[in-house]
Amino acid sequence: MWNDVQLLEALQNAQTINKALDWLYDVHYGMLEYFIVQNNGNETDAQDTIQETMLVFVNMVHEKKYRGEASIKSMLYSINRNVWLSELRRRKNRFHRDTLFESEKEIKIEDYSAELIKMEGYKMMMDLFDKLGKGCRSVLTLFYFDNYSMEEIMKKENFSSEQVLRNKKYKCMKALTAKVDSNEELFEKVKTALSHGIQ
Amino acid sequence: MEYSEDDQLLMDYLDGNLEANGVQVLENRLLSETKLKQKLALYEWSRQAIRLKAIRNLVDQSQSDFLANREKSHLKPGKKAPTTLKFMPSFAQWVGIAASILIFLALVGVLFLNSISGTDLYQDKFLSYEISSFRGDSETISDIQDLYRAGDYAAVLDDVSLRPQEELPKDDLLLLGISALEINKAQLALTYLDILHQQNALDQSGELQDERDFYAALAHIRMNNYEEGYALISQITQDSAHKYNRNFPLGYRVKIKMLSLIK
Repeated sequence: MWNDVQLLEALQNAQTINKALDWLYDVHYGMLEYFIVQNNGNETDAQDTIQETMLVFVNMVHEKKYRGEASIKSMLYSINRNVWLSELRRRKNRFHRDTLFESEKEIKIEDYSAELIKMEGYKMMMDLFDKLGKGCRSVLTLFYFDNYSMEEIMKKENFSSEQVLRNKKYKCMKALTAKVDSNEELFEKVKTALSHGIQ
Repeated sequence: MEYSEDDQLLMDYLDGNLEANGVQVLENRLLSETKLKQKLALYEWSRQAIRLKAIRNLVDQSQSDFLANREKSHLKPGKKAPTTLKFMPSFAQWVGIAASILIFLALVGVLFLNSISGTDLYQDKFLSYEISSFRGDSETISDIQDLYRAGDYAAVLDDVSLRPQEELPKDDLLLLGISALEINKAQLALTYLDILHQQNALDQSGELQDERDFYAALAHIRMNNYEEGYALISQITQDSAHKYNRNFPLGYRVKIKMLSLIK
């Protein structure tokens, strides 16, 4: 059993985020799913929406945009509602957008649409990351997510020296950014999406 | 835009590896050099996207574990198996029964394996490859990608007939390979997928290598080259980080292995 403060700490630590996510799912999935199902969605819609909700929420925690001013439950409910509304909008389902059933009436709804647009920008970059070879994906993830030192990565991934690893990391970052870097239109597209989150 | 010392400088800056005077010089340049500022932004987005991708994987894992547990807890417990046996054969009878079953299974197995073809096994695992909307929407992309998105696979192959294969970008090579598979030209598919493999061996980027391995394995199976197909499938399933690691379950691998032995 974790309180909100402990949970936020755990979500920001690569070693504990897994358990924190499991806890979030155990405690809040039912509430989030109920909202979707009550508003013209099915179980699959709920799964997709909740997945997106969790990602947006954890990203906000990592970017220090959520510091516990509202409860985690309220945050998740609002984000989930935003994600589902934008999906209904995409499906051009006006009736259901205008007549939403609020399953948690005491929660103050916040607008997180800017965060959702920003997520689209990151998805573009994530698609590019997904195209890299697994060696690159592994080195970059260990460095930027798991916060391993170069020495630790060198041992874990069997590099002959730190310099070889540095060159590899450099090449991988180059490969990741090359497509956006060489295409002004694409750069602007990513920039526009990501700038929505800048406040 | 070309890469230069500035790229290394910006990465070091973001990683906190730049000395104080280096930071000062760079930050002064950032005030007036728009291009440099753009590159810095791009590296920042990349770093965040890498973190986010790792988080997405963990979210996916937590969600699938949660749903699996929930489903399991809703299942009703099955009936208990009877605890007493009315008939207990002797040891010799057990050996006889076991031998009969083994012979029967072997016969059924051989008959079964003879009845299945590479085409069936290929179709069982083939997945249509979708170009992400991102790439389709935003890059001023090649005709190949447009034609592929339109599902005109023959035209995809026609489009490159006059171009040197070695000059094709990796995205296009992959799409050419898959297009050839889509219209049942497995040998041609292998040609393109192998060029992609060679390019990766040269530049060591590993770009689209997982996709290449998966479709090359299927191309081999489609052509009844079970030994080559099995070798690639083993490589994929032994690598837990491979994107297609879960696409070839044990039963499927056993079939391919058996076919590689008897055909």
